[in-house]
This record gives sequence, C-alpha cells and structure tokens, in this order.
Amino acid sequence: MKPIDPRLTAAALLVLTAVNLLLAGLDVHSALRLYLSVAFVVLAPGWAMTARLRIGTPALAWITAIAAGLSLTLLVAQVMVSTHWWHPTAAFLVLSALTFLALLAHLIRPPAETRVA
Amino acid sequence: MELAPPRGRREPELLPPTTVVRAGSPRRRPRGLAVPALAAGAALLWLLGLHPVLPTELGSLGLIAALSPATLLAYPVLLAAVVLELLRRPFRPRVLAAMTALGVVMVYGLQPASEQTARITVSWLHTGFAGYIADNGQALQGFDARFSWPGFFSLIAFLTKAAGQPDASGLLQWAPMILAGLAVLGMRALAVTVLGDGRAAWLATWVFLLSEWTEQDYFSPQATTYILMLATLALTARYLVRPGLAVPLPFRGRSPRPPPMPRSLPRERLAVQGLIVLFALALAVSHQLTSLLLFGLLLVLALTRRLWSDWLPWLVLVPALVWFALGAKDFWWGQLHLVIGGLGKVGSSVDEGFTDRFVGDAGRTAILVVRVGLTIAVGTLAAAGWWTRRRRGLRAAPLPLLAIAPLVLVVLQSYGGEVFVRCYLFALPFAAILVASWLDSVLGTRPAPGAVRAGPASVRTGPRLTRARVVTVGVILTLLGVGTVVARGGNDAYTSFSRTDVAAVAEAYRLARPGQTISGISTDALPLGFSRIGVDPQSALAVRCPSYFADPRACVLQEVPDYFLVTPSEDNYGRIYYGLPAGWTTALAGDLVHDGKYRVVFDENGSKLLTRVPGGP
Repeated sequence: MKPIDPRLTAAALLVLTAVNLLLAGLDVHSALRLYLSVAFVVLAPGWAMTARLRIGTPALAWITAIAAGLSLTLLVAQVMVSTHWWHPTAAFLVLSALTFLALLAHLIRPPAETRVA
Repeated sequence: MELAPPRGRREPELLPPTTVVRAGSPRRRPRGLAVPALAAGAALLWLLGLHPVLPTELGSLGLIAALSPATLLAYPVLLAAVVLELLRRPFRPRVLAAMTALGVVMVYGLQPASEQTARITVSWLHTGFAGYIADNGQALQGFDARFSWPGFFSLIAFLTKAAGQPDASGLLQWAPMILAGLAVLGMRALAVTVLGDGRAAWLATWVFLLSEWTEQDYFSPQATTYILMLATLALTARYLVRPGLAVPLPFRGRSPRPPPMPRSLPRERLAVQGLIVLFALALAVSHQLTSLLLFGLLLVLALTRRLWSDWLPWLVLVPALVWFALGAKDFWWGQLHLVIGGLGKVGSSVDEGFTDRFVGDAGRTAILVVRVGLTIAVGTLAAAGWWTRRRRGLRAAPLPLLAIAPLVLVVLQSYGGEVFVRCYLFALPFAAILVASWLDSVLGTRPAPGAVRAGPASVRTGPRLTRARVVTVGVILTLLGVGTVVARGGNDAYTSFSRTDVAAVAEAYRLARPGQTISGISTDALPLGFSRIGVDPQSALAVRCPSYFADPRACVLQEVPDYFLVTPSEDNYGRIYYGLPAGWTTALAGDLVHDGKYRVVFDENGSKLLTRVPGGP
C-alpha cells in the first residue's frame, strides 16, 4: 500500500494540535474537548517523534507512533503523580506546544518518504 | 531449538517477506466493484439490523439472542467479501484495509452501538480510580492493588483534567472498539513483519480480529499495555530479529550457521531500542503482568538465537522490577503471599479457570462451551499451521514457542482462574500467524508465507484452487467471527447496564454522606465505583455474604448498607447463576420496604435505590 504523503499527515495532525491548543486557551468545557484530547495524545506526539525514523510499513509506523504517544504522555502524567506536582493543564499545553512545533518542522522540512521494507 | 533439515532435502530459498508473488488465474478475479459492494452491503445490513438492547431483554445467551437476522447475516457477507478480495490477483490493500476497519466496527462496536451505556463494572471502577488521581494528584495508597500500577489511571486523569471534564465516563462506552482496533493494527504490523505483505498477513490480521473473544479490551490498563506490547514485538521482529521470525536459520551441515545481522541500520536499531525502553517504562508503571509476559516472549527470541540484542529482554524486565520494588511497595509490603502465593498452583488455576466457571444455567454453559471451543479451534488450527510450515521446510522454532510461551503463566501467576483468558490473549498474535499459514496453504497457489520460493521439489506450494477450499476458508473465518460475537456478548445480561442503572448509582453518590456505605448485590452486575473512591465504602453483598442467593434479605439486614441498589442486571445475574426466579430483586426490595427497614429514593425502569430508614435495623 502506497504510504500517505507525510506532509498531509503532518498538516492534519497540526490542525488537530492547534484545535486542542485553542480549546485549552479558551477553556472550553465540552465532551468534544475530551475526545479531541484523546485523539491528539494517541496520534500527534508519537507521530511527531517517530516520523523521521522512516519506519517500515504503514501499519508498523502508525502502531509505533501511537504507542510512543501513549507511552510519552502516560510517563509525563505518572511523573507528575509520583512527584506530587500535579499540573495537568499546564503540562498538556506544553506537550501540545512542543508537538505543534515538531509538526510544523515536519511540514516545512518533511521526513523522507516512508521506506517500504 | 532449531532442527537441521533432513539430509538430501534442499534448503528452501528465502525471499524477503515483502516479495510474495501475487500471480494466478485471472478467470476467478471478482469484478472491481463487486467486493466493495458486498462489503457495503454487509455494513448496510449491520446498520439496518441494529436496535437498542436493554439488560431486561437479555437472557443467559446474552446479546446474540437479541440480535436481528440482518445483523447476524452481515458477518458472513463481510467475510465472503474478504475471502473474495484475497483471491484477487493482485488483491487491493486499501480495500482490505477498509474492510478490516469495518470488521473492527462490526465485531467490537456491536455492543457500544446497541447498548445504552458502557459495560463491565471494572471499566466504571477504573473511571473512579482515574477520578481520584485527577482530584488529588496522587494514587490512593492502601486501597486497591491496581493503584500500585497507576500509569494508565494517571494518563486518564491527566486527559480528563486537561480537557476540563469532571470524569472519564464519556470515554467508556466506545473504548473497547478503539482499543481492540488499535490491537488489530498492532497485529497487522506484526503479521506484515513476520509474513510479508502478502495474503497470509491479511489472513493473520483477520484471524486475530475474529478470534479475540476475551473482552480484555474494555477501559483498562491491560488493554492499553497490550497495544504497547504488540508495538514492541512488531518493532523487535522488524529491526532486531535475524533472519526473521518465520524464516528457518540457515544450516551449515548439521549445525545452524551463526545468524546474519539484521537488515536494519545501526542507527535504526539504536532508535528502536530507545523506543522499546520508552514502552517498557510505560508498561512498568501500568501493568505488572504485561511487562513480565513481554520479557518472557523476548527471552524466547533470545534463547532461540533470533534476537540481535540479547540484552533487550532485560531492558523490559529491569524497569518492571524497579517499579515493583519501589513504586508498588504498598502492594507487596506485608502481602508477599499474594505475589508468590500462586506459584506452582496449577491445580487451583485449572479449578478456577474451568471447573468453577461451569456454573449457571444451560445458556451460560453454552456460552462457556463456545469460548472453550473457540480456544481449542484456534489452538488446533495453529498446530495445523505449524505442521504445514514444517512440511514445507519452514522449521522456524520461535513461532510455535512464542504461541506456547504464555502458558507458563498458569504456573507462575497469582491471577486465579482468569489466567487462562490471559494466556489465550497473549498467545493469540502468534497463534493467529500460524493459523493464517494454514489457511493460506488451503487457498494455495502461491509461495508459502515467510517466504519460500516455489520450486524445490520438496516444497508443495501449488495445490489447485478449488471452490471447496475457498468455502472452507470462508466457513472457518465465519465460524470464528460468529463464535466471537456470541462469546463477547455472552455475559451481557448482567455485565451491560441501562442509563437508569447509572443514574441510580449517581443518585447514591449525590445523597451519601462521607463514610456511608453504598452496596448492591453483585460486583459483576452494577456500574459501581465511578465516583467517590476512598470517600464512601462501595461493595456488594456477594463479597461479604457469599451465600446471599439462599436468603438475600437476611444478608441485606446483616450488612445493613446505608444505600442499597437493585437493578435488572442483578436480577439477571441471580437467575443465570443461581436459578432464582425472575423478579427476585424486585421482591427483595419490596420486602425490605415492607419491613420498614428501607425506603425507595430512586425508581426508574426497574433500577432502584433504597436508603436505610433511620432507627431501622
């Protein structure tokens, strides 16, 4: 299966990240915000982390990105819990902002086309 | 242990996994739009047949008895489309991917789409755990062993708090479909890595999708860590295993040659090991069993000389042990017997896993038979796959060993009877690969998975494709799929809830003062625990009064909870497990009110909340 152009993926995830940042900035209280936050955590940070690794097949690239995003966010949350420094809103904003910048970098300088192993 | 091929037999030529040939007779090629149209027809049938299902409508056969014929028909239609697409030369990966997504919705989305709220008490309880962390910024010590591995709950607390939501209950209902869908994606990644991107890998993906009856994909740490485990295994198989999981080690005479280096680059291997450490850290703080299982599976790869980095299993084990020693101290301090108490108790595991579970009426027994039957069927087909590969000279030891290795849990566990379910779940990815090898050989006409070039006289790769073979594969997939739908919905009479059940529990939370007890009849049949964790004692009669079914009224009066919940799901539970008459919970509530001990403060559609009358018992 021909992989999707990484710039398209980066652009879509950039929009998702921007929407999350916007909702957080406006402090919107809606169930939709929770769903968008979950979608962001599952898809965006991990893809931003792993896209330049040019991982083998589309399925492997996506499951790696998803596992990386989940693991990273889970560890951020756990560190806050274990250190009794519980500031989830601030941490979420930082995570979103860093992801936004990383995705922007992907958009400007896209990772090489995913290699088919 | 790798076995040398028999003397005189030519060693199969190995191809890179992705170069499986897709060639064959165009005569049998279905028309371009026929397969998508068939799949769309399946989706339409499924949607048209869907209708709301309440616990009051369900009996001991669970959800299957309440499904419409159109919905039931949708499954074989979809699987016919899948088999027809797999027969195309070449097949279209995008069409198969779309049908796989549809399969995930139809198998794992059936209950969320037809039931009012999330199922399974534990998923509601996990919301409560996450809610406690969200409100307090720390785990609740000394309350529940699961708080000693709070990673998943911390993640959910982080998300709900950051999204400004009061709790995570909005995530519960569709969580099984999302989590199981991600597991299917992980399985697809693993299958492609092991078998190449040919037909066998799609078959493995579908066998996994259609055989995952365990329902361990509800909102829980293990469902999340299962995805991390599959990602780790797929990455390992792709970048750190040599020469490939499904490929025999090359032999020099009778001894295996030293395995070649993986085809990956050093920087790729370094990056992958970094990712695996990240996953291992997340696993270590989230779920004790998955870390150990992953360690065991990686150890199998190391012992069979397939792993490029022998230290990889330890990269997974060490974080888990460190967390166990330091982070989970609350769990094992003074409770070491719980940790090592299950060691070697195979007999009690068998009793709890099989014998003790065969209780209840005929319908429940039938559901249990379906689950055992599915397990045996997958095991038998996997053995057939192993034998087929062996006959083709593909004597790769890791695959069968990885499929068998999770059974060690039966000896080394403290999970009680549920351990067999976990064994099946962890064995399923590799069993599915073996099953797919057999199904692929039944369809025949192409090189064996893994991949052997057709040609050596000793390798039989070209049986004529007959209609009987196609029907056989279609029927097997359909039986697995329908069996899984039956098994997954088998407990829904008491594990599914209505909105009014949830409202009754919420009303108890609203009314109860700190320290007042909230209780129901069975912990398996109530959406209890989604709030006020550590504030109000919340339990069930079944825990403190195990023989409640003999005289439930006496148990209530003995335990005297401040708030007592009665729901149709609990009524079903008593009927199915203990043969109590329909309406026994309503009669119980009536007796308690008639005696003047309790009064009803909430009553909607059979969901009742009773409160103790001051000055009563």
